[in-house]
Amino acid sequence: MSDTIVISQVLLQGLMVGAMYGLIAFGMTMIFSTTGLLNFAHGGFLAVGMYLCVTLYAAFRMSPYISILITVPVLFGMGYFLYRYIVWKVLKIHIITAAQITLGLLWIIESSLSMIFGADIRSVPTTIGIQKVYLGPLTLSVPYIISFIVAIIVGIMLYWLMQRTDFGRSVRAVTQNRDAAELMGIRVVRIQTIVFGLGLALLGVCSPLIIAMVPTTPSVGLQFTLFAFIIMMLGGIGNFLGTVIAGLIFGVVDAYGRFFFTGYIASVIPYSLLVLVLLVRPRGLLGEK
Amino acid sequence: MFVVDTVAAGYGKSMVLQGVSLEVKEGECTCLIGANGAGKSTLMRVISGLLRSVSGEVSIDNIVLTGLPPNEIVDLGVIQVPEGRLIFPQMTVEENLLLGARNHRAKSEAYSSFEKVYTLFPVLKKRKNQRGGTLSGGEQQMLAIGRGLMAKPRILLLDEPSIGLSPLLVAEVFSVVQELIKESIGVLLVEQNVSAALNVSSYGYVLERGHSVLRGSSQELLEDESIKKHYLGN
Repeated sequence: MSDTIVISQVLLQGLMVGAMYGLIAFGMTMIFSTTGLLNFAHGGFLAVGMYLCVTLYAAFRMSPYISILITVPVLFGMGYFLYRYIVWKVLKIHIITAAQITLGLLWIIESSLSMIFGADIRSVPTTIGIQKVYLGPLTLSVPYIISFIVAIIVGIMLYWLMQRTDFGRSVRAVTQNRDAAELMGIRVVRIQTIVFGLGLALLGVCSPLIIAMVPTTPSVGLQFTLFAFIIMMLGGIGNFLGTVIAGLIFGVVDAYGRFFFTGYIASVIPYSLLVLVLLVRPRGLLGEK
Repeated sequence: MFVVDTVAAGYGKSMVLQGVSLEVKEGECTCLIGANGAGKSTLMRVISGLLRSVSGEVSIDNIVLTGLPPNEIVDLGVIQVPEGRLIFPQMTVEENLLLGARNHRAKSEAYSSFEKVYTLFPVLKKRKNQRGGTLSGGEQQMLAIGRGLMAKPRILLLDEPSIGLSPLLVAEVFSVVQELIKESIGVLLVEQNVSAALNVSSYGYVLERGHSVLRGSSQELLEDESIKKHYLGN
């Protein structure tokens, strides 16, 4: 009996972290499908957001839930200007060069964070961090619930943006056929620039929330770039709904992996999941063509 | 009047177009014929701003298009229906059409444009909630033309609309061209299907290895000995 409770507890926790993973990977998928560029620095910018929260807390005792109002615009701006003034110009020359730049950026971010903050784990205490909610026999900590709710709200907003607005239609047009989009009068580079900003803004949403779930160290960057990449492949590259579902599955599998196994074996589990899924469905869960 | 004046362009060092000139009048269909590799599609890319020309000029009513980004060329009413249709396969027919009306002139009139396109191609209305990728080849071509019309073209560039279509469908697509001319749209029809193209157009140009080698009224071209020999196979 108590086993079922523990199992469901892990499931619930995995789903809630998975929702965060889904949003993080969603940004990477958006960027990849509109620009063709794999943003290796993606996780690095999540780390930037997390350390921004650490700094805001250290300086002003600002709660991460307030910092979100700062991390979102800051990361949007970073993405916007990075694409507009660097990535796009390199992308015109060769896509591999541009990918190399984002890879370099990941190391620059990690080293800078190590230099400024040191390699120790940082955390931001929140007043609600220790509060728990009891759902029958299950216990949930409040930060997990908050992040789950935020993920759902942001998910609905993204769906509306992509499906119901001119901007969303333009983004989808660019992902499906860049030349045709150009011929419709869509300013493709402008769309790509905004999408790059939006992809990073999603990290601005996630970083203050995930700080309660993941230890803040400079190396989270690489870890989350890999996670986002796996989730993107898992869901089917360029498939937005698939990415969200894959994020949830990834969260659950990872949670069970950590629960049943320890150390190295646990960290191998998510990768094994990717290999297994790709063996059965080479284009990912919802991949087409 | 839409004018292409001695345009030269290419990729890297290979010059595909070496001085191509042509004119399209509004309310008339002008055709551009030539074999595969003559440079027809390269010219289309130059006109729409996807490829920079090395020299020469493209203009509409004396407004120079050369060097403008594609969206400004679309704003001026020069609309391309690309070869291979290039519809958005995962979007519905309606969404595809809506994307055609993105430019400033067309946006506010999208509603009446929908009516027009659905009258011209009733099958698109029937399929409006279906994904573009699920349509047949002929329907996709109609969707591509419909999407072009949503943009309120003054000059419509039709790049190989007959490719991959049965003769019956080719006739249907070309009969639409007649309708467009009546609405004083200028049509530049780029075709390998020479006899069909010359029959629907009033003026024609022949492109060979990047040069415009022959021009004349479509009637004259149909009777031209070298055209008969090289393109009409008799």
